[in-house]
Amino acid sequence: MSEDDQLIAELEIQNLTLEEQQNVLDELRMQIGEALASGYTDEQMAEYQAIIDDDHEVINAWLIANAPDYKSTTAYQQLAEGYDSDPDKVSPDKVYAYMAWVEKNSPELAETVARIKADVKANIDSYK
Amino acid sequence: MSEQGPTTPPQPNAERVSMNDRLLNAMNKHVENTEVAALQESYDAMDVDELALELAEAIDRDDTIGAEQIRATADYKIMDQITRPDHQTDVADDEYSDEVTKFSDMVGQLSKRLSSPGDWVAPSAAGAGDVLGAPEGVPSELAIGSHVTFEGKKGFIQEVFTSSTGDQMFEIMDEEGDMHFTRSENVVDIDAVAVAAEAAPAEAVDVVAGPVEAGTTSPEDTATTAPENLPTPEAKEKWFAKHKEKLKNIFRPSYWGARFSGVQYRFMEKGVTENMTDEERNKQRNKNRGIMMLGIAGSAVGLYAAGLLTHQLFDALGAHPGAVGAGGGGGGGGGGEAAAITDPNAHSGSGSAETTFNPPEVIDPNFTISNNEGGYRLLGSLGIDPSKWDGIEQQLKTLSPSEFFLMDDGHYGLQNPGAILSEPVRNLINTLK
Repeated sequence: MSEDDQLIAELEIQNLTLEEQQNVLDELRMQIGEALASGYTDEQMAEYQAIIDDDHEVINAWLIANAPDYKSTTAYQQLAEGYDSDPDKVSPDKVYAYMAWVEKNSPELAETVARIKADVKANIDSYK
Repeated sequence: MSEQGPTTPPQPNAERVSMNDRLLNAMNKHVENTEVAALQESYDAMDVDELALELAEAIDRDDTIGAEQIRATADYKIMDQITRPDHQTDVADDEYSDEVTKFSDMVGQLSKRLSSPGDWVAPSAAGAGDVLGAPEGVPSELAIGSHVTFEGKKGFIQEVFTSSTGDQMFEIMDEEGDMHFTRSENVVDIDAVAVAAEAAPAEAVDVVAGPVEAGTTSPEDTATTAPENLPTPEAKEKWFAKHKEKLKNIFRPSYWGARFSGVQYRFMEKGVTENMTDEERNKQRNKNRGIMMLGIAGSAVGLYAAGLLTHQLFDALGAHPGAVGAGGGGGGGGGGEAAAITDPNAHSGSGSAETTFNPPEVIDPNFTISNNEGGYRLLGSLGIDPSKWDGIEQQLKTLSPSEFFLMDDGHYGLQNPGAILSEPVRNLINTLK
């Protein structure tokens, strides 16, 4: 089951049309993104933006400071697999830094996601 | 969905509005087609029991097309099972008929449950005390959250269906995050086995707890109360093997082209105002894109919070020293990173001019087909006389062999429903206009 399917089941929106389901999931993710972003300082946001925008200097500096052994991790090795044949050349350093950055800078991530999921579900239920 | 007028912020540039609308239409069409292909792929991966639940749900939401697709898949799977191992053509009609009847009964029960909850109740209400799922002689009370093994994998029960006759079926998430739907006799209740082992310590029993439901237990709680819940290196490897492409896709231009829904589109335009310069608009959109990506990462991590993508992952791998538990929290972490981001050289290295969001090239969404559609349909939707297909199909196959296949009737069909045809193929077809 995909992540989308799992969210659809958790939110109990199986009866909505595919388009409506997609909109709910997108709305959920937008809210999660906004909630997380609201907890960051401007400096943190600038750093995050630089990472996802593939600023090599920032990515390298962040990884050296926060995850010096990242290349030996299972996560990195999996992300690096297929890089040579990847037409987009998506940098595993960038993807790893993106995930690790969100994780490190969001100490209450699981709680935030759970709360927003509950809010969205309650909102949907109120229309049923 | 196709009309964004009432909710789209005013656009000063009429040409861009038109372009955005076209882009949105193209994306939506592509998403629609991709969904059909993805659904079939997911149905193919299901067993007959799981298909029964899918079909019941499709029926309950009046999704007749989906239901037909699921039923056809189930029919094939039943037939395939019966004719194995040597795919004998002399199918035992009675056996096939029995299996189809069983399947239909199951769908009927599940569908009835979904529309009439009173017919199917939770185990606690049903007083399920001796359900199947535990070895003989081991009392079991399987319920949501129970740890089980299924097909050799550990997992936990996400949902329980109990019929008025006492039959039970479980929706299970395994340690790799995959969902399964199965009858009670196919699962083993780990907790019950553990209790039995405790009562008889001389017997060695392998008990390892499965993942914990996301959002119900904090990572810290999990780490202190159930350290065995830490994913094994093998589980991590499998998880990343399965999800790495999705993680990487977030950084592909095609992702942002193909995934725009109405909500995403509106969010991307959030804060973009009429009196902004183009540079300011791009900066705002890029910021919005970053927030959208935060949400994507957040929801993924949240779903597997207690399993694979929490602090535990990086800590366990030794890649995240001091990330958690140092007492700094978000503020402390942020402070430590200030040097890196206040370095003017580092920050100016990716100025806004280099980080603008560029919508992908707009391709006529009609350059694709859905399942069960072919070349005639393709040309027709492009406004080209369908009969011209016969004269060009061979050339197309030669031009791009992987996109076409020879059908039984001697004509060529399109190999990849849902995929936009390649540029050389589009160019050749455009010559027919």
